Amino acid sequence: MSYLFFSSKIASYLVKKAKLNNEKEEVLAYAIEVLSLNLINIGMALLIGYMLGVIPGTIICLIIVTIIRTFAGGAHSNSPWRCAVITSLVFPVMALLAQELVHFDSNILDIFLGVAIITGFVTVFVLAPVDSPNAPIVSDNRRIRLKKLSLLSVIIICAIAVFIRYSIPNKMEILLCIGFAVLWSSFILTNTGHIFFKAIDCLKILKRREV
Amino acid sequence: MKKLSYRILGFAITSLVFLATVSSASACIFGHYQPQVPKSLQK
Repeated sequence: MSYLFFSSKIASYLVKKAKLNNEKEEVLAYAIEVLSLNLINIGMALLIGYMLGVIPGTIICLIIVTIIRTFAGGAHSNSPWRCAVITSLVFPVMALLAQELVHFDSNILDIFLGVAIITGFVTVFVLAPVDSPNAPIVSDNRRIRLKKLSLLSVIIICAIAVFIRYSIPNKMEILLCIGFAVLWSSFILTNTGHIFFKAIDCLKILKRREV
Repeated sequence: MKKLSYRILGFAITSLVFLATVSSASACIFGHYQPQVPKSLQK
C-alpha cells in the first residue's frame, strides 16, 4: 500500500505508541489520508469560492456532489494533488456559472434543471455504483445497496429542488447550483468522465510523492 | 498527564478506525482521488 509520506509517518507513530499491529497501521494511514485530503480539498474549494464571491453556491455544489458521489462513486484522478486542483476549481466554477446564468428566462432555467435531474437519475440508474481499482466493490450485496442508496439520493435531491422551486421565491441560483452539481456527478460516472480524468492524469505536473 | 495522553491516543485511533470503516463502506467520499483501501476493509 502506498500512502502520502505524512499519512504513513503519523500512522506509524500512532501504532508504535499504542503497540498495534501492521494491519492497523495501514487502516490508520488510509484514514489519515482520506481525512487530510478531503479537508484540504474542501478548504481550497471554499477559499476559491470566497475569492470569487460564490461561497453559498460552492457549499451547495459540495453538498450535492458529496451526497451522490458517496453512494454512486465515479472517476478518480490517480494523483491527490491533481485531485486537489480539480476539486478546488470545479465547485467554485459551477457556483460562478450559476450566478451568471441566473438572469436567464426562468422557463429556460426550469428546463435546464429538469434535464439535469433526469440525466442524473438515468445515469445513476444505469451506471452506479462505479468503483475504482483502489477501492473495489467486492460484494454483490454492497453493490446493490449502493445502487439503491444512490437512486434514493437523486430522488431526495429532486424533491428538495422541487420544494425550493415552488416554495421559496427568487432562489433560482440555488437550483442552478443543484443542477450543475447533479450534471457533474453524472458526468464522472460515464466513460467520458473517466477519459477526462485519464487525460488530466497524463499531464506531467504535480507528481505524487510516495513513501 | 500520562493517563490523559493515553486517552487522547485511544480516542484518536478509535476515530480514525471509525472514519476508515465508514469511508471504505461508501463508493467514495468526496474528492476526486481515492487512496488505496486496505485489504482488511475491502468488502
